[in-house]
Amino acid sequence: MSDRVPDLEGAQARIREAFLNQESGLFVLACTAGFGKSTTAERIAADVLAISSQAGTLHPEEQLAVVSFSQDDAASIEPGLDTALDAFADDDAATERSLDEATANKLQRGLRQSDYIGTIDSVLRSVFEDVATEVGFDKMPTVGNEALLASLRRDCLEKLRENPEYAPQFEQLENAYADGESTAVDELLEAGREAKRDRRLSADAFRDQLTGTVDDVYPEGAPSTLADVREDIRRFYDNSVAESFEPAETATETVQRDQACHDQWRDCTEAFTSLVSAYERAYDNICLDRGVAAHGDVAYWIAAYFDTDSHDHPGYEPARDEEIRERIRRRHAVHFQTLVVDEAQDISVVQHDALAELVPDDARVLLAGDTNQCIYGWRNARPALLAQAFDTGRYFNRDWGVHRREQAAKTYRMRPDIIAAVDTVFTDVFTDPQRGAVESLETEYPLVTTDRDAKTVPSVRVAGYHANGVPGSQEWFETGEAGTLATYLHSAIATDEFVQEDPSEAVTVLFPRRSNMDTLERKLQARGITVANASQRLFATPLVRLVCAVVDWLVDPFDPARTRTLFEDEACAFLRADPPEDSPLENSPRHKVEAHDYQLDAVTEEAEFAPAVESFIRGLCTLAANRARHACDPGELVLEDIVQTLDLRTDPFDLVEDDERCLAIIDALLDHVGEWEGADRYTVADLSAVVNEYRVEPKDGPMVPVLDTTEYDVVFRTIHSMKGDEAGVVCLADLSNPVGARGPHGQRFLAQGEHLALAPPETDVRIDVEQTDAGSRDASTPLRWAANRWVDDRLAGAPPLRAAGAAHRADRWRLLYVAMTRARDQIVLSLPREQAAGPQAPRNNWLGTLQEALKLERAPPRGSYELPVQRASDERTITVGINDVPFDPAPVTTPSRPVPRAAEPTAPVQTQRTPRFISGSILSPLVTEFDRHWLPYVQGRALHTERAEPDRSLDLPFGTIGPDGLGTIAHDVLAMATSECVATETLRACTGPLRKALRSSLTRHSPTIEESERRAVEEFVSHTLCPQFAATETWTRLQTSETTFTEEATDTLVDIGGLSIETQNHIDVVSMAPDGTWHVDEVKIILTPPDETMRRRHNAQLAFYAWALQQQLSQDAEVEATLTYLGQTTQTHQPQISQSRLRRQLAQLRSR
Amino acid sequence: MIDDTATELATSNSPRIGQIHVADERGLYTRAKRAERPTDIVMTPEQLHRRNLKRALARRDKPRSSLTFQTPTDVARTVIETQSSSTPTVLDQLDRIRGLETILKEKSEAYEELRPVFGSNLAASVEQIEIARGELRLVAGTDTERLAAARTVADGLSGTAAADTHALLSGIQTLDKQLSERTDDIVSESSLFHRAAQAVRETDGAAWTDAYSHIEQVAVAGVSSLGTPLLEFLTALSGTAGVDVALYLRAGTGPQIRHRLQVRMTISAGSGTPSQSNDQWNIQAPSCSVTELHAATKHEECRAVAALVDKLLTSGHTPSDIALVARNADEYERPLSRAMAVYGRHLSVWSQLELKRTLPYRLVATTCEVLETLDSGTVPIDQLLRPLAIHWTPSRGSIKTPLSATEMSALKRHLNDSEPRSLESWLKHVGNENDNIEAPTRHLVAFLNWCRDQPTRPAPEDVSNVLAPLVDAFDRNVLPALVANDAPDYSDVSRTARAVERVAGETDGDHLIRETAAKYDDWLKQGHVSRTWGEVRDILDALATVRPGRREHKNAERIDVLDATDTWLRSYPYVIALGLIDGVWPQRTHGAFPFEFRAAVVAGDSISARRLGVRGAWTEAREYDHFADVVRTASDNLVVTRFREDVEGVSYQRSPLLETLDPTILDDAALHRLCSSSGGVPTPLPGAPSETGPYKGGRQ
Repeated sequence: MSDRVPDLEGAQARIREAFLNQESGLFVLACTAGFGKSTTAERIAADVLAISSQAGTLHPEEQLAVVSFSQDDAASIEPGLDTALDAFADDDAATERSLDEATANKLQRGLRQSDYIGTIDSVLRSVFEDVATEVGFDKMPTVGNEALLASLRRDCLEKLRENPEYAPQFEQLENAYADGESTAVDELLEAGREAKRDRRLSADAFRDQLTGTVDDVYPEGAPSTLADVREDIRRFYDNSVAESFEPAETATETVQRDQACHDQWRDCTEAFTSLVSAYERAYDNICLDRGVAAHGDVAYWIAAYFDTDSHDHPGYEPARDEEIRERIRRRHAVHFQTLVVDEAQDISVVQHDALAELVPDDARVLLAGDTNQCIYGWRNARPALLAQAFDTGRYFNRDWGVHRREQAAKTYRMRPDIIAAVDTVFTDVFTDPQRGAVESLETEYPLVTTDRDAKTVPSVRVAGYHANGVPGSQEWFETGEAGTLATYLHSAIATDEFVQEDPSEAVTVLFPRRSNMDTLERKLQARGITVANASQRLFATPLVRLVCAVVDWLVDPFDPARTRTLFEDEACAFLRADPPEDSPLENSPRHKVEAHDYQLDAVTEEAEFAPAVESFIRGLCTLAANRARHACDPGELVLEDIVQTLDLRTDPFDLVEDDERCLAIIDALLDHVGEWEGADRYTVADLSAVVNEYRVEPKDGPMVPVLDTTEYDVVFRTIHSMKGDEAGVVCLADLSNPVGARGPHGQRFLAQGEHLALAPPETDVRIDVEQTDAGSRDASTPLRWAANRWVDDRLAGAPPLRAAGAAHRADRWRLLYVAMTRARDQIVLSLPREQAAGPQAPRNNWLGTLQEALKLERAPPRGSYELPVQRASDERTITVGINDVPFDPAPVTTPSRPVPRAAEPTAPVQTQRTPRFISGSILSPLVTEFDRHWLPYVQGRALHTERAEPDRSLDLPFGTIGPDGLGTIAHDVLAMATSECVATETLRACTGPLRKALRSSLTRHSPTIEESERRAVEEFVSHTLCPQFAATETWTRLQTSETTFTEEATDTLVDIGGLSIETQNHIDVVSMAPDGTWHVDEVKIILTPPDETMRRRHNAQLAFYAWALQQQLSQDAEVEATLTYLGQTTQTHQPQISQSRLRRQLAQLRSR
Repeated sequence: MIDDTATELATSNSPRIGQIHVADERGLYTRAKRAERPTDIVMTPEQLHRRNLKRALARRDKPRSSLTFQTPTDVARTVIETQSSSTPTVLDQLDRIRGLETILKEKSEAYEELRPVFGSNLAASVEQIEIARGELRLVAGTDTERLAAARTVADGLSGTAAADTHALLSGIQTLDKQLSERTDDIVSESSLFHRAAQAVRETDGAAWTDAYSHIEQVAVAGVSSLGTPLLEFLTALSGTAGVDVALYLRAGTGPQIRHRLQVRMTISAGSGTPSQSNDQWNIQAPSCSVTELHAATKHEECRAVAALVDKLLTSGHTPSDIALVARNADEYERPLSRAMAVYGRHLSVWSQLELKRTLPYRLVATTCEVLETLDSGTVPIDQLLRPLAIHWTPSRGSIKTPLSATEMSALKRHLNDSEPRSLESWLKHVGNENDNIEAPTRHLVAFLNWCRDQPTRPAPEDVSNVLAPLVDAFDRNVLPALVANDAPDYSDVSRTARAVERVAGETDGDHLIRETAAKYDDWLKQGHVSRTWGEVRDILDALATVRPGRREHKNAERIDVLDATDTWLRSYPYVIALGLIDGVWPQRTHGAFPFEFRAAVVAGDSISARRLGVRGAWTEAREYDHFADVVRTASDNLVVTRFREDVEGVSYQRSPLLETLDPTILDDAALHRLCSSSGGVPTPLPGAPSETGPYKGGRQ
């Protein structure tokens, strides 16, 4: 069978052809959701590799960069390239991209080595490895560690506040915006710094932009009369509002107030911009000092470093520094010779500028993106850059000579009815200036074709509920939407109503925000539906919050005040809960502990707690006593100790919905802390500070991973986290929040696209043009700030603020587009049955728009209806199901998986002690006194048995050299005698090589020995030991041996109760007599008469040696062992060797 | 397939290596005999490889007195020592980095060419520069023709890579020369080999025979790369001293080393064996069963492995039957330990001791910090109490037990409102506040008095005199209490006792404080450091980082966890290899030289490139070395495991190494059963021990 590489089609093929036919240029592929732009981009990149490889380029992957915005998207690039290369290798047809398998494999391996395939952040981080020290870091900093950055920012601002130079500005801003509170101003400054940096604005440009906004809001300057005020109201609202404006005070007071607003606002802007600049400088310095940077900083530093206009710093040496800079640029530019950017609409200005410096002029650049899917405006994504590239061929700050573009309106993802519904909604939305028609590539919305077949069951469905309360409110969701939606999903799942290609896939419920997830989760679980929340913040989980509380307490666990804080912590509600009525316990645990002045040690004497609580409190005491260990361990291990000691894996307080998730939460916590900590070591106080950064702001921290969604019926995700992904069945929930909510009108600092503004002071100088409900920001109608109110067909407010509001709303509409285009087979929309009005009106609310587009007013109470839709070639109808599921199914019973052992209590310790290495010399001590000798055994020290003081008659001083040292020296001499086969007379007199060996051994073992001691030792060895040995039968026998081996290593493995134990023996002498008998000899220097213990030990040693030697010899070889004592006495023994006894001794070493 | 026969190389009149074996160590076993004196030197660069070989011989009940086991450095040192009658001293990595820093600060203008490569602040990149220095020596040694070959390779690279490589070749040469000129010691092991080779050649082999008169054969075993200086030494041994040289290479890198050996040994340009095809590595097909297990995350992978180990032990296996292996055992230690602890079981991880996390090390380090801070002024309460929190006890006097956590806390709270104080002020403050002095305060006073008695400008001998007694007191007063409180497996005690030995134990070569004193002395003489406790602390830290010391592995009831490379010559019935993820195993290649240069040298497409050595980290072949050894280590069952996602949801790909096997995949249901508390080892995983006979590597 002939395997062919699947062809690209239409715009995919055209952009590919254009790209491959040019050596350089800019190529832009703008396409709709589900078009397969990532596949196209990866395929084109693979084509480049294959063609370059065929042309003889050795490492084409080194000249390729493929980047995307999010980690998920980037993670799929390499597999995508792999797949394409595999297809090329399997393709039987000979083309310019045909590869043999080895070449494909080589390219794939090469791609694995590349630092230029991944997220933009990761690629820029690689470049920064070369740049970091050039911009002042000592080495490559830690990048993107939010915990470090949060404390860095706090410290930095604290330092800035201490500087008297800035005190007036801080005071001014705190009075104007924060009612004297510092935190709000800190947030304001950080937002300003980030916005300035992301836009690469100079201090002046930043100031000009903010001041420019004030000027725009006061187009005629500060008012002189009430008429001036009314005129501005007319400009920003309309005539009727201007006419009906009723100032709360006199005209003069009103004018004065508005003048004051103008003046104070300018002053605040001045103070703010000065402080932001000072903060930015201080921030940079502290980043350099601590070796920490944010991802945005990395992009900024790269862009700034290569920007040749910005090098006037002290110490700048043009010739040298330019050469270095140019070399670094060229080193990296090679890798951007071909650059493929996926999700190009999400690139920010600073990322664009950083890449621009690295991309060579003769590069080939492919941008693939969709401005309608840009939902990261709040993270400074700048889709206008892509729009400009598409329209004009300008990108990376240059006009490209070759500029090709393709636009595609086709999906390979969605069923026909789904895309028809999407088109029906967004044909209006994306061409409506009041909704999404901002920053789109085209003013017209193209109708999208699909490659997929229609299904007989409705692909578009509505779960219709009866609304209650204010849209976007908790009441709306809890009392109106959640119940119906839960019932709908339950019914559809229970009756297999959802038909999708992969039946094991869970139903994906998308939320625009997290706040109502818990409500729906509870309602679904009550119906037996299993739910995985894939968008849960790790530090928002009760389990992690409990761990954080314990970490705080561990900073000083014996401090009653800390113990009290722990018991009052919201995460420890179980410590405050009153016992149930039928419980013998009388009070809550806290009452008991309080009664003991929060001294835990005193409390645990009384076991009057529920078992889980008692275990918890005992665990706390254990942790408290472990402080020395915690003072040495890194934070990750301290957390591990907490989890282990408090048995949190078993979820004793039912804080987590299921076992697997409990384990996943703990895994994630330990992994993240380990990663943040890196090679450093957090003290408990450091750890407490770090985890509390996230405890306070869980949104800055990581998510709880959901690893196997097929195990669940339903998966919850936010729309943002679903971008770039798709699912068979997608349900959109919690859609009622007005699109204008959380817009610029509620912000103190506005950074929306190109719009930057600081809000006017939040003092009594602010004027509202209409009296509204007190306290409702959304309903406010400020004269000099962004309003969330329509005036005819436009938003109210000064032009730049109005534009920012429109941009914010456009972002929200694109979010709905992304949400609706994730579904492959079926989409469920959760919508109210009541007709939209007011805040639900189509231009204000997704609900209104969806109801209008789907003509929901025509829908029957239950069942389905036909909806006429316009398609590219004709008008046709799609079937929309509404509440078309039975609403009274039985609760679902999902077959439960076996409980993981890891979620059950820890088993008792199974591991005992068996020596892994054994030698004859330590056998007896270990057998007889295992516990006593285990520690020195572990430490590798000699295992001493009790022995008497050396015989005084020997007259040995033992100052520097102890008995062991003496033994070693004597051993060296006697071993020499044996190995060199010296004459008996030489041994007896200790002369010749033996004398030399004696002196050399003395010097080696005790170089600083006193002369008198040296003489005594020499004398003892030469006058006592050597003659003694010469007179022994052992010596006589060795003299006649066939062969003699001294210090013979005789190792073997021995089985002790199934364990394989290594023996490590060094036998003094192994020899073979002329009759073929093997002998094992041990010579012992003794300074006291040998007692029974000593004999037993030495006999065991000999027996073991003999046995070990026997293992190395033929089975019929005969081995004899001889023990020779010298020193205080001369004795020779031939201990009886008993194999069975040896076995028994060895067996005693097992599992002690 | 692996060529497992010895290969004869070269013509009769050129330097020669007698035998080259790839993935076949039978020759080593054959040479092991009982002998009155050694006839063979076996050189294994890794200590554990030496141990493994000894164990392999013991397993075969082979006497081995014909073999002496030494590192190549030991052998070269002995040759030089015998010839010059003095022991050559070789700078260690810390010395070299210090030396390089000094040179780069003093003569930075001489290294302008290195700035475009490492950046304008060369001193900030000194560690990278040292790596590059090491790579250059490994690749080309000091021989001018090999250096010329490196330049020729550089000429063939693209613009920036060529410029970077040339700058490195030239700049590193100069630096190395300067380094050499500034010291009487030998700069590095490379230079040591070079000098030893020179000594052998200049004495026409006498330098060798004087040192090793009875040696007939020198074997280099278990290496993944053969550096040029070592090759030069071996060439001198075989060519000049007439010693047989045998190479025992590994499955991945071996063929390439063999392929270009003759060209590398031939000095004069233009000669040497013309290039044939570059041999391809291959993994020997395992003869045992192979099962693949993939879990969602690394933690789940570890839990599955722990469950498997527990069920195997329950079904009759012993810890000797099982080995867990990872590319880097350290990276699996924590999650594996956690997973095993659930079953009450414990590991023996064969990697370096985490010395800096141990009580004895922290005790010494924090005490130095207090002495340093007291000397420079005032010390805050937190810092002052740190040594006491880590169980400081006086080496003399009546206090024999450390302060308990409760006492520490009470003491701290009592003093917590105190501002940082000088030593005298602390003494006065503590004394004034506590007329009826209680135990914790007495302890603190003892510590303050002890601090007062210590020299403020420590001489080298003070390092041992002051610090060693601290550890002795710990050994005497604290360790016994730890023994009494530890769990039956004695995990904490084992680690702490081992650390006591490493920091201030009985073995000379294993005594961090003495090493620190020697280095401090040396650096004081060279003007690298001044006399402060802070400097002592920094040296302690640096030594503890680069040479943390080995762990203890003396409990046979713990399950072995090995680095893959350390499985060389080992054998276990049941091997579980973890982390077979692309990028983890095989790891990405890396090096200090530009990628293009490394790739060109590895590819060896020109005679110049083949003249150069290849650093192991430059090639994925080294990863195959390790994997091949793991496969060989499994005598009955091999289980390969991996994970699919990290904690952030990023996907990981299956390791290409697994393409060489044909494993049976464990399905999800079986995985869940495995990880649950019920049932035994699910099929297709083999469970109970084989009934057919004793295991080759484990039980006998």
